[in-house]
Amino acid sequence: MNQPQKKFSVACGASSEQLFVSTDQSRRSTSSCVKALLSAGAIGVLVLTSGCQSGAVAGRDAATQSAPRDGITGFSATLVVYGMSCPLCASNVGQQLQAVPGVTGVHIDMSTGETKLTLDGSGRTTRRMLADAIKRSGFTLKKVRIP
Amino acid sequence: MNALRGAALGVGLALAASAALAQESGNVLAATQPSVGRFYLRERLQYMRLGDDPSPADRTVDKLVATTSLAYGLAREWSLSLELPVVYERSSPAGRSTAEDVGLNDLWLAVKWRPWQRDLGPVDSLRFAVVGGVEIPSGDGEFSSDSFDPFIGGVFTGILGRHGFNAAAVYKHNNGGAPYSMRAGDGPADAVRLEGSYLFRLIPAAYAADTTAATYLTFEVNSLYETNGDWELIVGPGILYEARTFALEAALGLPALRAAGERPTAEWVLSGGVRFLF
Repeated sequence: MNQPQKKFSVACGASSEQLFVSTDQSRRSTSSCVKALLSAGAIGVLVLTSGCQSGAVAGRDAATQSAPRDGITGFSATLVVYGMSCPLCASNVGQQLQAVPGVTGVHIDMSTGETKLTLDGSGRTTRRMLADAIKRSGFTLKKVRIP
Repeated sequence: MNALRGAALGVGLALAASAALAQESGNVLAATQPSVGRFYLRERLQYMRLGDDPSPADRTVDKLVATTSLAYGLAREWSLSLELPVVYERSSPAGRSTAEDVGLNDLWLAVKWRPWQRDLGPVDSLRFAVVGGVEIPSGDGEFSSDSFDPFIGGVFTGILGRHGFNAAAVYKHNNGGAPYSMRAGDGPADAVRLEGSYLFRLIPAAYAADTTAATYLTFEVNSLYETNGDWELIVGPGILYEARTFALEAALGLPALRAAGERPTAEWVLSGGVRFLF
């Protein structure tokens, strides 16, 4: 499944990072995998029949589903969260953040409220997602710092 | 609510409705709750002695209650909680033989809504929540009130640095109950619960980047007033240890005021428990 997309990305100039994310996303379920296969097949046909341009559009669409336009492409982010008065509070925040796509690690400094995130660099994580996670945890997000 | 919960003045409701985290002492409501989609399990064991019974039975009662509480975060401001108390009771009426019994107390189903919250700093927070629900009869003989009894109240929580404060007032309307029920707050009269707690963070004095646990000293005041004139006040110290995913707690309650005309009151209450966050 990876090969046709990768070949296509090279041929048509779509970033390998985007397509990697697309492939990673397709692993999540059988249905998305089938869709990706169909998409790859369709792209192949488009490449053969209509040239690279239409294929690139399809590739971008696929990638956009996984990596939002405003996704954080770096490997870290820092949030400042208020109201974490105890270790269990911090755990609530940590659990919600761990559930955000692209977040691979969370370290919370309760003295300052600084919550340092390790990201997978895929660009799947957005500021909105992080803000929603803090909201769900029941605390207050004051700042988001992206290096 | 049974005698144990009643004599503990708020334990039952606190367990059922608080389902909280944070600087929450064992027997007092707090305006905190699990985050969205998260479960909070609490197991609590309480042992108490009731005495000074003004009823004709003149009972002295030892009780052991194992309470399982489960809470779930429905939304940022909403949580749902359920309490199932299993009771062992040994009653010694004056001049009669001792009777022992085991059963299930009435179940508590509660919803908590937190309409107001101000997080003032990394640690400091002020919150107010409304608690409401119903006591569901277990149908287990003497342990059940055999009535659905609704309750509603409000709770305020303030955490400023090392200091935590909780204050709550809850009104329960009783639709049933025996005149000489041992269940404080569960006779024919309605019940008003006023309670508060103070928590002092003993260790660490200040949080650091690598802090993963904290230990608190607690002091609780639990008061139950019934519309038949009964009034009971219990105060006592406790300790709370909190890690990231669990907490351990222990507390002692001693009577400061015992003015019940129709039921025995608590001579002392010893409680301990553990909480888990999933």
